[in-house]
Amino acid sequence: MTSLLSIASGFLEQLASPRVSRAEHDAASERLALLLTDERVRARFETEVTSLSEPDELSAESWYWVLGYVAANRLELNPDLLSQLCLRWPSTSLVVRAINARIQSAEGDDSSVDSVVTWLAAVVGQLRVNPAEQEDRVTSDDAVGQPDTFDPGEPTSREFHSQQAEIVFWALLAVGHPAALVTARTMLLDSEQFNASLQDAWSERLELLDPATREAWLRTVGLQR
Amino acid sequence: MTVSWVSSEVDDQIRGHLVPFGSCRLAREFEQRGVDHLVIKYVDSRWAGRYATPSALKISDSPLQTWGTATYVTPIIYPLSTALYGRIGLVAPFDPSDWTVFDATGPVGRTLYQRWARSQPTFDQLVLTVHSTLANQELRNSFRIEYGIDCVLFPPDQEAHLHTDTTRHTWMAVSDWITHPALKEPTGESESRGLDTGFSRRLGHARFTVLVDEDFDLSADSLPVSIAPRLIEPFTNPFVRAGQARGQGIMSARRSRRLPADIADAYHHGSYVHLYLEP
Repeated sequence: MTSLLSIASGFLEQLASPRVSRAEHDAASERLALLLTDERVRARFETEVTSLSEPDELSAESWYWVLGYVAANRLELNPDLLSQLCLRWPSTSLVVRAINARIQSAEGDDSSVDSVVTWLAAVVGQLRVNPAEQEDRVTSDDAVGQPDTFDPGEPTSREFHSQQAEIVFWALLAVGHPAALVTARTMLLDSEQFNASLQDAWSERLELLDPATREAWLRTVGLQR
Repeated sequence: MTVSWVSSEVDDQIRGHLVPFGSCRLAREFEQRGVDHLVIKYVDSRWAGRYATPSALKISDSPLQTWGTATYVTPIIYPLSTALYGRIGLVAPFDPSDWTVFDATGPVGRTLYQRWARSQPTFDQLVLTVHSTLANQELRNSFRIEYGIDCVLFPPDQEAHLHTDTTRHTWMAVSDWITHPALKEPTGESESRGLDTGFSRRLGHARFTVLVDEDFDLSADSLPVSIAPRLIEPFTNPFVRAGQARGQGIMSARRSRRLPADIADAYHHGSYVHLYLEP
């Protein structure tokens, strides 16, 4: 880890940790914000943040804050790094932030929508459990204008973690961007490729909703009955 | 972004519950009291120097906050309501002329938010996992972003004994927005809005204005306290009532050759010496 980020990491630990009090959070937050009011310090800090390349360089709490900062300031993190973060965290909230960081770093660039879709496909592709049965089911381009061919990425069943597939699925829904929704729909339609229980989890959740809310969900995901 | 997980009925009810600041209950209270649009935020003594001259309040981005990432303040009409958070009261003006307010002080607002939250894909994370703190923050932020809420009014969720009236007081969570160009395809929208996390532009001229002579304990058994007891006044009151309390300005006390004797005398008579900052 580089020097300034190393100094800041002490604050970052406190900023997102549920183990410290609200007053300590606020004090750490204000100290770091004051540090970043100096333009040179801020520029250096952002350079160091954007050069991060390994998930282990920060704790989950620090990543949570850093990803919020990255999204808010439209910084660009290495997509491979964001992908790794999506695949390792057992918290939907953290995965939401990683996906949002990727989407928002691409905003303002007309040509980048496809790159977001491709990136999401590669992320979920790594969660496929059974490469032999891969099937390119989702080709709909009505929502996001994604590429004609959906590249599922290289399946790595060894890294597969069924729970993680579910976490990424719910995170995609929570992000709500059409690129994320179409990827979630892909997972759902191809659920046996990811996690046999994904379809069950989805169905159970739908059953718990009142009819009007259920309809809103199906409409949002593009699965009207 | 026009993604909605709630039914159109709930969506309409939430939108129907949003009001311009001028139409909200708090605006009427300001008007009735005849006071300017000012808010107060109590902070730790360490920040007195920073706010000796007007400066922007820090936006709270802790996951522990009641309504997500926002600047948490109290209307000046409840000047002592949040005194438990520090001895230094920072006062700031605000201009709510373009604010959209969500009133969560009553059952309607609170129920609408809960109905919205229950409909979100991450609701299970909130109620069924160890990650509820982060899930809560994400949900609260998402709600405020989705409905463009500039200010949430909510009842005190912590109480300073004798200073906070949880049945009458209202606290505020104020949003500061950052706007960026959005992906032009596929959303069709030209910009996206998020919550800022730096210093508040809406509450940009806060100044150290109040000094409170009391302290409160914010936690009990390592948990956030519900009712924070006063740590000083209960023990000084008996002496005050008995006419035994002795007060002396700190500046004169520093020069006083009699101070050691005064303290010794107070000790021997079971009293105390209050060394205060002269107003």
